[in-house]
Amino acid sequence: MRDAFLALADDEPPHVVLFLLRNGIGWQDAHDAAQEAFAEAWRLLDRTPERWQEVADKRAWIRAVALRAARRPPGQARRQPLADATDELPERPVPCGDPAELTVLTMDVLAALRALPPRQRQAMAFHRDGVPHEEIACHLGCTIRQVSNLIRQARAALRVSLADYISREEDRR
Amino acid sequence: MTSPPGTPGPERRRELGDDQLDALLTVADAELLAHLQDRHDPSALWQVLLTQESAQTTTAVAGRSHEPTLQVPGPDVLHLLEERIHTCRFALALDRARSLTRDIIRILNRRFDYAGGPSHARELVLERPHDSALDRALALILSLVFIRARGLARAVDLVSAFDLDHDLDFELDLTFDFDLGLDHDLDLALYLGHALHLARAIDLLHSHIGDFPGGLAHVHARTHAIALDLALDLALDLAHTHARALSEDELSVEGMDVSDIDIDIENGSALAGVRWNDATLWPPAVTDVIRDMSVEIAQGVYQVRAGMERDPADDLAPRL
Repeated sequence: MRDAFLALADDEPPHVVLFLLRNGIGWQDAHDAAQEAFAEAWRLLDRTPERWQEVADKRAWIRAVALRAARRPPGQARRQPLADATDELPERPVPCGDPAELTVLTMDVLAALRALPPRQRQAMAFHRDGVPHEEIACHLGCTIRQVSNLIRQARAALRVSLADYISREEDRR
Repeated sequence: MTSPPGTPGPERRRELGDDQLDALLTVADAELLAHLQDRHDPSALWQVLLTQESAQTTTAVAGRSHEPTLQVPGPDVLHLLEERIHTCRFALALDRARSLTRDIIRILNRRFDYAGGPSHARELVLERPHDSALDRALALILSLVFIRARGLARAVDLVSAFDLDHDLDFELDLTFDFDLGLDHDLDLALYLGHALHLARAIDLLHSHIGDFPGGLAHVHARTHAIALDLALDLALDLAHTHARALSEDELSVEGMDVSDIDIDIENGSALAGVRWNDATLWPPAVTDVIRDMSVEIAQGVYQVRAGMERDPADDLAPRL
């Protein structure tokens, strides 16, 4: 079980950060919240392994925890890495990179997603990561039919908002 | 007048097809993921996981397993713990402020000696580095007391104005924490009164700094610095009194998970008198210190003693 978790923690963090970016979370907050979600999962696994075992879709669970952490109201501190000897080492550079390195298309897509109503955005972000509708419904606290509606509405809005990108590209050519 | 069929009017909004939308989303996702994976540094996450692992391993070595489920401390317990820690923190901050004030008085005394001397100009040049030190010290004290007296926003403005460094930000954080923690049943009037006195004294003192060594102004500055020192003494006494009053309340965290409380080694004495047992889960960073500060008062029950010293014979508390 621990091996499976470590494999997840090895590969999944960038995907979780991507999920948070699709949800309109800022770059640094997305990295912090993703890290916090994995730490939370690790604690759950260690203290109550049977509960971790019960989590049916662990990728979806980590995304939901990360999203909750990222949207925590100001003033509620995130769980910080514990102090140890490595704290004396120089700080590593922030691993977010520079969003300015991304293409206009990617920035436009992020902006279009950010403009969606929150529940449509969340449903779309889960959906893009291949999370089944029933699992999305569980995390959003709604029915499967409502999830389908949210995704349909989100796609309709994106079809319009991203059409501008195509127009600009055609004009440029 | 209508547009010909098939010709979109200027007002008609263009829409992508489903395939086009999926293509755009896929391209953007791929680029973002590649960007994130290129820059992914797993070391920070591993550090967090390994530190937790280390704490858990140490617990296991103790050979005294925790209860299957730890209690979540009630709001009263948490509130009392936090208030103790905040009070201890504030007392330490006041102590630092007092130490800085005494440095200021020493500097002013030296300036006062120079004021009438023939080599006055040369000495002033030599003393230039003290100007910035003085400003920094005053700004630090200002930040400590303005929190209570005039609100955090004002203090933050002052920090910006004095262009202070990370150390001062840290002090501000401490004081801000204190501010959050003391909003309950502390005797705010006393603190506020003293904070206002302090703020007024520092204001006056600071207004004279620019006039060095301006004779009468210099004397005023020294007078205010001495008044500030006395005021800080009083504030520190108050903080200690409050800390003593808090420590008189019996506090037990037996069987509780208090690993989320915000405490560091420096503030360990805030836990003096607190009872705990094998099942208590402390923040991993301070577990060893708390163990060293504790004595076993009953089978499997320990109490944190005041002070950091430890009798080597008291090797009864478990390694956490």
